[in-house]
Amino acid sequence: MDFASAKLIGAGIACIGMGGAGIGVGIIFGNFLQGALRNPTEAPKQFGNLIFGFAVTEALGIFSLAIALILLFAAPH
Amino acid sequence: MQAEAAHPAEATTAFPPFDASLFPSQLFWFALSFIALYVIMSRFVLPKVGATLARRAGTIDGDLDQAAQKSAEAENARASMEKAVAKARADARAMIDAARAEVQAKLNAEQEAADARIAERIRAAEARVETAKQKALAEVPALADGLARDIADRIAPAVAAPARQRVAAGEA
Amino acid sequence: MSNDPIHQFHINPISPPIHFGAIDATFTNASLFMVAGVAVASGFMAWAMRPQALVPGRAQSVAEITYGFVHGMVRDAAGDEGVKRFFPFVFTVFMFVFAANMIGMFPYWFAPTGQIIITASMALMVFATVLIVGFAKNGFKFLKLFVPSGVPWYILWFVVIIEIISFFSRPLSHAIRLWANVFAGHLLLKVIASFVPMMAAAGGMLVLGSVIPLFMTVAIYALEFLVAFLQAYVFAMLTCIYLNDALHPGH
Repeated sequence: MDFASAKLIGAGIACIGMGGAGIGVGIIFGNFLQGALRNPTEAPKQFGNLIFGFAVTEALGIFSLAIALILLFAAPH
Repeated sequence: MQAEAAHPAEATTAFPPFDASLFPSQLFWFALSFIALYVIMSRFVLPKVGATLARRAGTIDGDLDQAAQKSAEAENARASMEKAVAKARADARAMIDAARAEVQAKLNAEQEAADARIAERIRAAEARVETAKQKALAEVPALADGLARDIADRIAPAVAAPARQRVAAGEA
Repeated sequence: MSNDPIHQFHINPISPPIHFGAIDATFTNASLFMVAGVAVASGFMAWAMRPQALVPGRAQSVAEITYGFVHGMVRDAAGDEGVKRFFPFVFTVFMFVFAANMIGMFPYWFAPTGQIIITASMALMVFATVLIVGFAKNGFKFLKLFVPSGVPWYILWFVVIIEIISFFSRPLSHAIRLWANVFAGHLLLKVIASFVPMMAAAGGMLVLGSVIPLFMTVAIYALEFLVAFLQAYVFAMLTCIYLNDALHPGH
């Protein structure tokens, strides 16, 4: 296997990590909705926590996206 | 990565975020701008904002205090007004009561006087009736005597005269 | 080379080389936009707070809301002591990251937070502050940070190892989170936007199809504005949480 194809394959594999972040973000918003529907008056107070949890989780997906992009565009040729 | 080039900027094929030859200049300007921002914020801007917010909070608290004070004053005024009204009402009631009591007393006194007068008159009238009755009763024996004599004289003059004498003697 | 998505992260000098001794202080486009961000942030705050009005105008409201936002963030995460010690620092971090992110959103401008050295410097600054303040304030009690209470001894050694690893990986994730978000967002925008001329140049039905990446670009641009704010918020928030550990190491 030559170097260029290895890079592309590596980028593709790195993108699998984003699926985990997707699951995580889905769990966060799903659980927020569940809690919010049970207790709607308390829900707005947790909005900051929701966004914080979303950003922290989503960042992990961004990590793998960054790895993929680095492999695609920034790795030495 | 062609790091030690003439100048970092020539390293266009390298990946800039990982190009260590670009770090010193970035670090220098980062330190400069961050410290400048920190000094500006902590010395000039944040105290100003904090002071403004504190002043606003103070003003709002002061206004609220003033409002509370005003409302307490109004409450006091209302209470004293109510007290005055109650006092005036009580005074009026007392005055009315006093007047009524006076009138009642006068009425009672006049009633008593009138009663007394009436009683006096009744007593006098009764006394007169009594004397008249006494007088009439006192006249009854003589009258009855005369009447009896007349009857006796008419029915039996013969008997009557000596009996009369006897009676008169007996009486004597 | 105009379609190279990395092109936007290239650093070019815009002044003749400046050297202070061994330190290379050449003024580059990265420096320009960092200084511009700081100038905009501090200039706006100073200008907005100029009237110091009792009833604030629009600009003053924005400045006060920013103040209150960061103030509440520090107080919630690190308590009143944290506000006393670290509020200006956290505010500076937030303003710097936010201004750098926002200034990077303009097309053809440069995102200073897309350079990992900048985010790593800030993360290490926070890390060093936590260590210094933690040991200065608590002495060796600061090490209780690594020893959670109420854990049986046969798991404790393992928990301590995990705590130490997670403590020392904090600056890494702290720095990479911000950098990767900005970097990947800008790269993604560039990649998707470059589909538009590519498809338009291909001819045929693809010319009509080129509106799809155009709309995607607009949508992702909006998302990136959200990310620019959110990552500044998250960066400052994590800074507060880490600084709180320096003040109250016992869990």
